[in-house]
Amino acid sequence: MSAPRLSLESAGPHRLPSLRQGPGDIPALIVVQPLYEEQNRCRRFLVQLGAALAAHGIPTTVPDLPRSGDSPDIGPFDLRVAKDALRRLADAEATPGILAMRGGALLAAPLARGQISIAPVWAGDRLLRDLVRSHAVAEKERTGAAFGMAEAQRTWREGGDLWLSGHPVSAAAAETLSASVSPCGEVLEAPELGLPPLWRQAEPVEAGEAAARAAERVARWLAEARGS
Amino acid sequence: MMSAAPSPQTPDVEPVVRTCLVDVLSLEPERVAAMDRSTPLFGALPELDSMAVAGLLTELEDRLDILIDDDEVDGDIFADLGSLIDFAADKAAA
Repeated sequence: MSAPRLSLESAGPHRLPSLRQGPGDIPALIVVQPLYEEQNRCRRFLVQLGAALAAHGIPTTVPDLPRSGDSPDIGPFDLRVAKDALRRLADAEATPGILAMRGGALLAAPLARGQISIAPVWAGDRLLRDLVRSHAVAEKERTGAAFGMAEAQRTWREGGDLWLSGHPVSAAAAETLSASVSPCGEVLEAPELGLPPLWRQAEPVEAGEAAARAAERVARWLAEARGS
Repeated sequence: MMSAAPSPQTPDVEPVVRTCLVDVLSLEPERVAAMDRSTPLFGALPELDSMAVAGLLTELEDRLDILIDDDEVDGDIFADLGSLIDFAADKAAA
């Protein structure tokens, strides 16, 4: 099994820091990470999943899409920009499919490729509500003032960005996220993998067994998609 | 909101609440199993910060198929395990 490799992928105008695992001589499955704070919380699991897929002979690449992770493109995350980068990367890689987790499943809608999703967020407005709720609880604890979606909408109407869970969210980004739905494709829900909700946990937990189960399911899905 | 007696709906809801505490706060199952209704939560569990509160509410919504209005959320809900169970049970029964 080869060691993980860091690379800077070109996808049209986008430069995407990426983590590659597995064989380097065939197109890689693109792994689309969760969005916002959930991305950090799930990264260890996705690296374990990549290693497990490599053991099946399946290469993966995990890109940091524009305005997320270590992307050199900074600013409020924007689904439209991320979708554009993902589409270009998928074309350049000739990827056999997209493996998305949580909010990453919202990004693959325009891609005419196979998609398998782990614990997908079905609708972007739910993710936005989660972000606003986290901010609301913190604000109430810090200042005693109530904060909710109405206050968030007011800030966006006035042209401001909101910092939600440490991430700037613009009005345009909130609107795009809110209107997004996931095509999901094949779905692997967390309970069937024995996967705890890593995306809600402040401290990383060991989920290697769940990663191995997910890799088996993904390998089977990919084999069926290839007709082998 | 201290809750001495369990509400009638708690048998179905209580295991879900306990599982959410294990999953969201990464607590040992044995530790959560040892809690009783008077075990204090917010302010007593360092794992239960504001982000965790939000995550816990959302997981309860997903697993109990309930909707929690953010205006309803205050510290009393998380005062102890009994108050959290009763809150979730009331929402599930609504």
